[in-house]
Amino acid sequence: MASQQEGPVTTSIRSTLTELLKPEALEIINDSAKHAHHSAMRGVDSKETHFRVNVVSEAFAGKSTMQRHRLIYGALSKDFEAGLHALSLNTKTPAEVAKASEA
Amino acid sequence: MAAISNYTVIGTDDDFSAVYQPTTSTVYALNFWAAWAPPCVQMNDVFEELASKNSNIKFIKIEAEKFPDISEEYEIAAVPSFVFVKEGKVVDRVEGANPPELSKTVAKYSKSPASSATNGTTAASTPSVAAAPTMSAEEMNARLKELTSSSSVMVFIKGTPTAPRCQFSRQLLEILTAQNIRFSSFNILADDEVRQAMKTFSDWPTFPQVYVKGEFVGGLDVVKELVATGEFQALVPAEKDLKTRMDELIHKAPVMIFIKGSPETPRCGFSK
Repeated sequence: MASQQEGPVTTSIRSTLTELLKPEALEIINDSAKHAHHSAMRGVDSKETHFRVNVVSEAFAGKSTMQRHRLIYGALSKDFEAGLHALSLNTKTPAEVAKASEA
Repeated sequence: MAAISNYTVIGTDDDFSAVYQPTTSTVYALNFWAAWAPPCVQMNDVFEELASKNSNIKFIKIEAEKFPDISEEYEIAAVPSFVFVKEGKVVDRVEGANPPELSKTVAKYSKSPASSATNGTTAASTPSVAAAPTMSAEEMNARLKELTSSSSVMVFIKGTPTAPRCQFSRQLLEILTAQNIRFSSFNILADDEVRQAMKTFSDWPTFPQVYVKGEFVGGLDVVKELVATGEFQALVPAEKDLKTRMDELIHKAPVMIFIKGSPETPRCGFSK
């Protein structure tokens, strides 16, 4: 589907979250290039440091936003240790998405 | 004067990137100075002297105003300032012309890495502890408990409210200001021990981190959503403006007296 090759971190995030959340929708956007010049990134070669993840999953039902994020961060802890630096998250249940599109 | 291999005077920004390698475990001592500040002259000599005696540390002399980007990155507010960096993180700072303090700090990092086996076998390389932790896990836990409840709204950010060092921290500050919420902040870039300990304490790997009344609320995304739904404002009432506060106060009881101190401990003869 994607014509570009996904990097290893992207692939790791995708497979971890797919298994964990069985999502209806999962979008992973690599924003690393926007942050490459930041001082914290000096000396870092990885092109997979900052991501935005939009995910829709029934697994989030009944969980607060913070709990949803913690769930994801927990599952990705190895990736964080390995160089993942920042993750912007948008976590919705299918019901929430439906409700939003009705409005 | 003999050239010292671990001592560099920065002439261009490239010089800095050439000598500074954050991925190694080398400790760097950065000297930010200015020609117009007399205390710097003395400290420059001290700095150079320390370089000749501590070969495992790389000493870098930077004329602060000529390199504003580097100065800003290390948050140099005054000269002379000495910043110690290891593995990309600031591990220590010495502000001002304080030769004994500088020597002491240099001595802290001046250990010959003799005991660490560096014969190239990778496998599981245990990361070395940057510096001996200054407090035990229990003490740190107690400290963090105190820190996270030190203010009704406490935010752990990269940088300071007037000079945030990351766009996520900056966005958080903007949101809090826009909602007129009073908060206190802690700069995790200034204290690496707290930075690392907070990740475990909050069970959250990134910053900014927000605590309300001592309880962890979440990061930027969470706060954005809570503000959008109004939940955040319910958690923390906005700072009322002075007139509103005054109105409320003077109407609080049939008779209101404004005194210095409290009824139990009046602080002035007239109030008493």
